[in-house]
Amino acid sequence: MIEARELSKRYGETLAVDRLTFAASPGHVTGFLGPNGAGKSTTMRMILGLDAPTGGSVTVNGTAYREHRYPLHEVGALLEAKAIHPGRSSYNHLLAVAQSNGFGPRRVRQVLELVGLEHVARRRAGQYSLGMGQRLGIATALLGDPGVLLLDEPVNGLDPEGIIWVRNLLKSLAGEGRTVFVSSHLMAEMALTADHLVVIGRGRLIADTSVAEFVARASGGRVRVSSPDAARLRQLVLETSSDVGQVEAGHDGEAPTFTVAGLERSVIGDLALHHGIAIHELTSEKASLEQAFMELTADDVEFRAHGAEQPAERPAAPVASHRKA
Amino acid sequence: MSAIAPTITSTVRPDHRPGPAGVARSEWTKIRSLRSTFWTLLVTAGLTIGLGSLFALGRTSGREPIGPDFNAAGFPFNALFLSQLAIGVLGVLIVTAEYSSGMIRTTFTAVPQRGLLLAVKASVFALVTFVVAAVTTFVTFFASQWILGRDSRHLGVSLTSPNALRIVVGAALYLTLCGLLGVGLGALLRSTPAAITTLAGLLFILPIMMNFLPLSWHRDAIAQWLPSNAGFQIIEKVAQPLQLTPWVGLAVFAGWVAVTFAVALVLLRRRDV
Ligand SMILES: Nc1ncnc2c1ncn2[C@@H]1O[C@H](COP(=O)(O)OP(=O)(O)OP(=O)(O)O)[C@@H](O)[C@H]1O
Ligand SMILES: [Mg+2]
Repeated sequence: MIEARELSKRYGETLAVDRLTFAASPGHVTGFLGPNGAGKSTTMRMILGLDAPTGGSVTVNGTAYREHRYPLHEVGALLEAKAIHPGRSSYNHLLAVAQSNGFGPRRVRQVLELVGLEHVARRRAGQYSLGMGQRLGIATALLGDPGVLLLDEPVNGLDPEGIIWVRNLLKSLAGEGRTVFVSSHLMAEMALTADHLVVIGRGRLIADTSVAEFVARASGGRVRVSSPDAARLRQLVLETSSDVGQVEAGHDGEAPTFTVAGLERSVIGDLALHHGIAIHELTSEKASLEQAFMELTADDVEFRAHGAEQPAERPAAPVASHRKA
Repeated sequence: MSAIAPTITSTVRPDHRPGPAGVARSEWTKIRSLRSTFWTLLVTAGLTIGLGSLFALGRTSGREPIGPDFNAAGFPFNALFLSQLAIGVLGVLIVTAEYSSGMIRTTFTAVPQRGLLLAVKASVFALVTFVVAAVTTFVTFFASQWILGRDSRHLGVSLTSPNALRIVVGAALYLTLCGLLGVGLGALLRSTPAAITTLAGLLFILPIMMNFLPLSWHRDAIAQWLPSNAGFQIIEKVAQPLQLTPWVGLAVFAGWVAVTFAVALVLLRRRDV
């Protein structure tokens, strides 16, 4: 169980974490999501007592991390992949961490086997690929057989097989009753792994929900309408719905399109029939998780490449173009 | 702790917690598992023995007039001027390499008692360094005295001659303190270049800079308290004019190291990692 109350962290001018309150409970994989610079890593460091909060507090199983008697058994953490001296072998790295908490070589061999590094365990870590580094980080986190796992972007750099392996590992760890708290900016990955989501942007809590709720809330059920007489139909639709997108020209001779929120497809179809307007397409747009995430955090993205696609704004501002750049 | 399933488990016992013994074992594993440790210690030993022998050779027949108060036992240990830096750099690196790699976060997650960690890390390092330094200074002594002994004037002395043992053991202690100064500076500054520059500044540059101050500013009274000036008195046969006595000098050097650690410890507890 991880509980943060009004947790805040200020670095000089930067308010990295802003009065964050959330909980991650045992038996669940809790996804911790946010764009770059949202404050995920900072929050994780505060959970581990590495960085001191400037406000609020955070506890692990009811106690501040630094007060725990069995720290490695309480929490296993992966903060950065390859946070290892490049000249040290993974066996010796794990052994050093293990010994500090009274574990021995047997436990080291167990976790090496668990992450599939047993054959390269004697090689210097500087030669490891990013994926091997991630596996070593996960092995380090598992050393103390902890009840709480804290993983900062564990799938970063892993191949598809590795991603599936991590996904299953996290699920099985949660299935054993452990608290699994895992950060990512890959919403789609989290949807497959997590059952609960804590979403932050610019250090502030944006959402604290189940995955299903999150998707439902963010997609909001838009309908895409394609018609040769799109402009007229749009005017008619506007009488019932205030949230109607601009008409976009169709590609390759297709009819122009626009999108509507808050109206059933049947209502739009009937309306078109009533006015004798032909319809070429009428589909419900299910926002993808990635879209939902981007829309939710749109106002809180700190770093954005110039010329990159702007996430759709809602309610639809007339000037916003929904076309891909 | 509750709800730990048996799939990965069954290895956790009540003594699975950070304590001095476990942390010492862990720090020993860290030190011995790096080739750079081995090489740096070898360089320290090689420089001391090599330069010490060279300095002895330079004093033999036909090369230099030898005065009656020639410090035969201590003179070769002027080699420490160079080797002190090698061991100091090793001390810096065992701390700053953890910061530059990010390992320090894992370390402080496993051992949240930061003071305990620094104390044990420094102790293990000091023990390793002292053993290597003692072997080095004894070998340096016997090699240099053998060379001096071959001189027609029989300049060499035995280990039982007055002050010889104190000089040889003291030289090993001096090297160990230089290493510890590196550890303290590493913990204080957390960056390899900053710590090494400060180390070199304290040991080399500060005494040189003093020469540019006028005597009337109590230059000599101040200079004797500088770390390397004070520490180096341990290789003198007898107390030197305008300098601290051998053991007092070494104690003052140890004081510098202690102050560095005290400041490092206060900051270590307070700072974000
Ligand atoms: N030690 C520090 N000193 C100063 N500013 C910091 C420090 N650590 C983080 N920050 C700032 O705090 C903010 C949050 O950073 P953080 O690394 O927690 O974000 P993040 O969500 O982990 O991002 P990413 O997805 O890129 O890993 C950023 O603006 C960052 O520049
Ligand atoms: Mg991060």
